[in-house]
Amino acid sequence: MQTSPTADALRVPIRRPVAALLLLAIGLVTIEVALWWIATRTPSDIVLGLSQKIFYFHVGSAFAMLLGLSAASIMSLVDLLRPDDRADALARSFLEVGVVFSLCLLTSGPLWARKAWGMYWTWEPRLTLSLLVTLLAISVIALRSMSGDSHTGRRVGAAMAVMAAPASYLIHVAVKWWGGNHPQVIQGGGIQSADMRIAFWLAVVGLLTFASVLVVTRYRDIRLQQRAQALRLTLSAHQLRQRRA
Amino acid sequence: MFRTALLICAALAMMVSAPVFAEAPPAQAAAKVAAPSAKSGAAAAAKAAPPRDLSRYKEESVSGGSLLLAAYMIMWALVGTFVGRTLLRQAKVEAELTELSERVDVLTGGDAA
Repeated sequence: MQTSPTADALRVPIRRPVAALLLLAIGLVTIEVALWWIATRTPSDIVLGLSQKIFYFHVGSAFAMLLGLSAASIMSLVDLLRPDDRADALARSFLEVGVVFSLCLLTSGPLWARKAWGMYWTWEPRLTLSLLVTLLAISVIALRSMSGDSHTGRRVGAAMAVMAAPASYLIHVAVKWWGGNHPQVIQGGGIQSADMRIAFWLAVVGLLTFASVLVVTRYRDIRLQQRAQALRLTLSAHQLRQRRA
Repeated sequence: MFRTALLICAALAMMVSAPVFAEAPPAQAAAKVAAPSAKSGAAAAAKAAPPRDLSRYKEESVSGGSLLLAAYMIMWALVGTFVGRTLLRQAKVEAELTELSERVDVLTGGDAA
């Protein structure tokens, strides 16, 4: 049986999710081990020196960004086709976490490039696309923030967020299709050293687990806001009824 | 939130426009100094300005360790800011929910929430 959005929001649980706390512990431990492994076991690059070690969390951030924005895009499409508060809350959570990691990507990348390319930024396809997708996602967040509970704002935001998945795919294939300076470590033969491979996957798994916790936390936050809004509506309706009576 | 988004956009715009205003990279500058002019003869070479002091380019080269530290610090600062903001918002909304639930309970006798 389908329930009204208000009735659905009133049933949002207030308790803290235990699974998220468990995931948080796993994520933090994995990140700690990854940092220790990177600091003590991985070799330094002859040319780049220590700045090569930016790579581990830079790529992890890229994975979190691409997955987050793609998931936001899918949930936005679901919300557009069949409006649902849970899909909307998930889309917003994925989008915001995706933006956090895209900002990590866009700050760690130029710091690596300063040593590798001699400059912080170059307008090559993958970098330019990453910047544009980040700006698109920030625009959606700003739009949702300004439009409040407006239905139109929600639909326009969702329509814009749908674009994030194809754009993420274009970022993934940018070097293959249009070339550019960006190195292709994973697609171009992989990492040769076993210690570097372990550090890389520890960083990726740790960051993705941590990103999942952030999504769950933000989702709960948005759902609680929806419940508060439903309670405000219920309260207003009762007060109006009492005044009429 | 909107102000934060604007600040982020401004920071990104500054970051990407920085190389446009930056000086030529050391390699190009050194090449300009080293390349002999085609028109210059022996006399011109004698009168030529003394070679430029390139030591400042050495000073400009950033160490990999500093870049690594900066990258990790910025990344965790960004994530930490997001976590902090989310937790603060959650605490606020939880307090509001408790208050609203009590008011609704008083009005409806516990039927609505």
